[in-house]
Formats: sequence, C-alpha cells, structure tokens
Amino acid sequence: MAVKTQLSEDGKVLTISVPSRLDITAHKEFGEAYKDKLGPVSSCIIDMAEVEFLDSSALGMLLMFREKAVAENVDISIANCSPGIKKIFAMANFDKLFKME
Amino acid sequence: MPRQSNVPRPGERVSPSSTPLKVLIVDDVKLNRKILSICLAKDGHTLFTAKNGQEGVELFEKEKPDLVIMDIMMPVMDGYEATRIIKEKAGESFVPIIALTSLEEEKGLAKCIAAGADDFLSKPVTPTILNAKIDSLMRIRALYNAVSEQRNEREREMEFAEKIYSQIINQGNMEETNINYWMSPMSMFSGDILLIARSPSGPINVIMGDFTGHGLSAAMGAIPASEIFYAMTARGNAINEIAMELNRKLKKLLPSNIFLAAGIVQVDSDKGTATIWSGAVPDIFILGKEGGVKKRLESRNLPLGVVDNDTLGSTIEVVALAQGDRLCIFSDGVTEAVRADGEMFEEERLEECLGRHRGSGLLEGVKTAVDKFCGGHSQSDDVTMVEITCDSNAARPMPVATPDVYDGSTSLDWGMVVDLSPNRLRDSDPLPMIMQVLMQDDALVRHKENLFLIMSELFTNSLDHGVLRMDGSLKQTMEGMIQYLTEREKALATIETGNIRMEIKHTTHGDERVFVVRVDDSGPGFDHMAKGACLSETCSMGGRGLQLVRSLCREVVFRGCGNQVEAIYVIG
Repeated sequence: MAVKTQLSEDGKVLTISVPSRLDITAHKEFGEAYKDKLGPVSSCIIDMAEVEFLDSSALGMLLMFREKAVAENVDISIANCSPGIKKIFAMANFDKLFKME
Repeated sequence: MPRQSNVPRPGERVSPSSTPLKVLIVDDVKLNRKILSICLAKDGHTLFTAKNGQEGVELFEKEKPDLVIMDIMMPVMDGYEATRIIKEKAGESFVPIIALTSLEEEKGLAKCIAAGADDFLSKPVTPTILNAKIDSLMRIRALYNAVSEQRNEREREMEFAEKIYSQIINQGNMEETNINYWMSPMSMFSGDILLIARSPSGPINVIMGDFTGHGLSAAMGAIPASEIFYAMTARGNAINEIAMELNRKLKKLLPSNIFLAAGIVQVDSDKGTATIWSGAVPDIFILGKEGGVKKRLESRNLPLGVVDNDTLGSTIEVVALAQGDRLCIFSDGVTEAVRADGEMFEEERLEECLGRHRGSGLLEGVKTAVDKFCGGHSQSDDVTMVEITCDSNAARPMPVATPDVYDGSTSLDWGMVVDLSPNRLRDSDPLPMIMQVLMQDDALVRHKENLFLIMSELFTNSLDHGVLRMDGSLKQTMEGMIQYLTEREKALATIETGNIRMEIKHTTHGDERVFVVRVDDSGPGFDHMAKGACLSETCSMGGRGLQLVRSLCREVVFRGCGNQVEAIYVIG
C-alpha cells in the first residue's frame, strides 16, 4: 500500500501507481512521488488500477499534480479506473481536465 | 395448553378427601386405645393399634397408614423415637402424626414437634377435637400432595424444556480446536449462553451472554437469541449487525426486566483481527501467546434488549491479534463470585490471575483461583468462560449447516455507531474498519466507492475542522497544502481532546432503501445558515468535498451549530 513510480526505459514516461485508498493520508507520498521528476519526462500516467476508494482530497491532490505537470509541459493521463471510480471522476467533471484511459 | 394437574391455584381452598382413612393408634394403655377406636370408628376409618413405639413402627411399615396417633410415654420405645423413625420412613410422602400428651407432659410438646409430630392432642381425648384435628391435618396433606405433584410436574417439564433448549442452543460447533470454554452445569439453565459458529468466509463468531433472571424465563430469551446468532453467522453478517438484530428481537420479545448482557466477538485468525461488541459484560481480556495481559477492553454498550436500536449506541472495536494471542470472555459469575465476608472476586483479581498464568489450562486456572477465593462458599457455580486463540493453523471443519431459513436479507435494518475518542483518533483510522463492516452487507457492495467518499468527506471534515481546528484556506496552494498536511499531522499526533461520533444506518425510507450517515463532532461548528457559507473554501467543508457529497446524496443537512451533519444516500 504505497505510491510507486516507474520510469520507462527511454526515460520519457513516468508511471505513478497509487494505493487502494486515495484520501488525505496519501497526499504526502503522492506529492513526493512526482516532485523533481516531471522535468525530464514528456508524459506521466497515473495508474489507478489498485484504487478502490477516493475522496475529494484525492481530487485536490490530482489537481495540484495537474497544475505542476502543465507548468512543466508534461502530458498527463489517468489510467485503469474501476467503473465506480470513473463515475466519481465524471461527477466531479474531472474527465474534462484529465485524459482518461 | 390445558393444565394437566389438579394443582390448586392461589387462594383455592383445598378440601380433605372424605374417603375413610387408615389410622394407626400407638398407645400402651388399653383403655386409651379403646377410647380412640370408639372416637374414630363411626367415620368408617380402618384402625390399627400398637402397644408401644416399636410395634407402631412395625405396623406402620406393614400397613402404610394415612395418619398416626402417637402416645409419648411408652415402654420399649417411646413416642419421640417412634415419631422420628416413622417420619424418616415416610420419606417424601406426608403422613401426619398427632402426639398424645397429658397435661403434665406439656413441657414435652416442643420435643414432640422437634421429633417430627405435626400436631398434638391433650388427654382426655374428645371425638369432636380429634375429628377436627384430623380434618385440619388432611387439608394440609392435600396441600402437601398438591405441591409435591406440582414440583414433580415442574421437574418433568424442566427436563423436557432443557432437552429442547440444548438442542436449539447447541447447533453450533463447540469443538473448534482453537477454542476452550468452561460452563458450569448450573450456568446454562440459569441464563448463561455460549454460542460458537464459523462464518462462511472463515472467521469464528462467539457470543457469551448472560440473561438476567433465572430458569425458564431466561432460557426463553436464549432460544431466539441463538436462532438469530446461528442464522446470521451462517449468512456472513457482521458482528454489529448480529448485535443490532439480537437487540431488536429481544427488545420486542422479552419483558423489560429481562435482558442479555453479552460479549459478541469475531476472531479472524488469518487476518489477525478480533471484532468485538460488548455490552454489560466484564472486561474482555487479550493475552499474549507467552502469557501476560496485552489488552483489557471494557464494555462499551448497553445490554441487549433494553432500548430500541435507535438508542442503542452500538460501538464495536476492532483489535489486532498476533498468532497465539488469546481473547477471553468471562461471565459475571467469575468477577462477582463472592466469598464468605461478602468480598467479590472482581476484575482486578481476574486480571492478576490471567497475568501470571503461563501455558495451557488458563480457564481451569481461573476456576481454581475463583474456587480458592470463595473458600467453601459455593458462589462460583454460575460461571461461564471462553478462550479463543488466534491460530491460522487451527483445523477448519466444514462450516456448520444453516439453521432454519432466515430471510432477513431484504428487510434487515441495521446500524452502527462509532464513538471516537482522542486516543482512537490519534492511533487508528476508523474508515477501513467501517468500510470492512459495510462490505458485509451485500446490498452496499456496489455502492462502495460512493459510500467511502461520503464517509471520508464527512469524517475528514469533522476531524480536520471540528476537532483539529485546521484552517482550510491553506489548502488552495501547493505550498499551503504541504503546510496544511504538516500541521495536520502534528495536531493529530498530539490530540488531547475532542470526539467524533459516526452513526450509520441502513434502513427504509418510504419504499426506498437508504444509507444514512450522521457525523457529530465536539468542535465549534460554523454558521451553516449563512447564505453561501458552505461554498467558501474557509468554511468547515471545502467546496469540492461538499459538492461531491451533495451530488451523490438525496439530502445533506447541517444541524446544531454546524457540528452535526447528516447525509442520506439512496441505495435503491
């Protein structure tokens, strides 16, 4: 149950896998996962495969991530959402801010 | 059911039978025997006469008379001795003995009664007095017979009831290898219950309960209680659901003076957890593998069957167990065992006894300690105790068969209240535990993302702004967010005061199933009446969180001074 990062072989794609429960307790670790890593990459994928639960602080966390990524000119997307999580994103209109895969 | 005996009802007059009696007259004076015979003959009684106590005893054994008239001063064997022997030989049947005394023997009256005589008659005897005495004694005999018939009938019924009772109660598997228990024979029918069953996914559910009251009335409550326990365990219901259903049913069925103090636990040896609901039972102890008390959990709930489910603050606790840890529940027969000077065994002595025990034979050790404490005082008869070891290697028999159909799946209302003290808020995060409980309810599983979001928002809001008094406006910038998180962590680690109470209900509104969450905190609240109050980022609930909760729920209402919030979510 932790945030994991993986850099593609060519060093261009950063994948961040987040834990099953995404709320205020995950903030710090998530922030540290992409801190100083966005510069060299061209795109970043948030892998949500494990996520069962999230709340608004997770949305806030993703918004901050997006802000940072846009500033660094990194292409971002969210991948592997479960149908329930997808619905919550849709409800929060996040599907307009993030590319959903 | 028709009454099967001619047992008299209270106030009913019991008449002596008018049938002639067999009367034994014991007197050494021939004239006295003659007079008595004349007095009695005209009522058609059959008479036997003896010349001394010895002969009287012999004749009593041979003829089995209904009544004995016994002179006191006699040769060979006097009336006192003969009375004692005859009373002994009569055993349980009531054969009245009238002692004959002369006026100068009046001092001997007390001695006659002490020897077992039921009445006395002064010489000279008159027919009127003698027949009046006989009538009176026959009335007593009729009453005596009625009472003893009633007692025999009650014994037969008890035996019968006990048989049915134990068939109902013992449906579970008492032979789990990781469970030891001790139930004194007296305790079961005195209202103690110990039920053990395995839930379909593997964990073991145990209920140790103690009904107020004794005998049949208490046993009556045990029947529905065990049915519910077994049925719901077989369905995989969570501990708090079982507690709520037991409470609902017992409240409905039992008179208000009968209720069930109970410890209900689920031990999941694989996950290493125990889920505990305890109401009005002595502290539950958790002992380490090598011995020593690791934790002592005090009762957090009212007993079952006292108040409505709405009022029952159903608090459950989840504790971690290491392999080999033992969870022990004791009935108050242990802690309230009394010794001769009135001093009770108490939880402190129990803890001391558990603390120094090493190895196996724990319950036997406790029993010995209680017996030793009580001395000869037989107070420790009413004792039930159970020891459950967290052992993932314990042999796993097939789950017990489901008892009679329990179709509560669609209409079952349940709820849970979690009271979080500063210690709980600091040391553990309640949401995973709550979600684990919710996911036991099949109807809620497909709503899990939404339910988590709702509860997480409401809880985090209460914790951050109500209890920890965090400033939400920090959260708007990246730097502010980091500062917020740092401060929050610090505040949470040092929290001393403040409480949160989360109340969850799955119930029916109209024809819809709804999930209701209510969160109260001890904080100052906020002005929820002010226009747009909740849309401001600085207010209690950040705009986004509340918007999400609002869009998921039928209704979100703030109450009190803004420190109470209730959200109603429609399940379908």
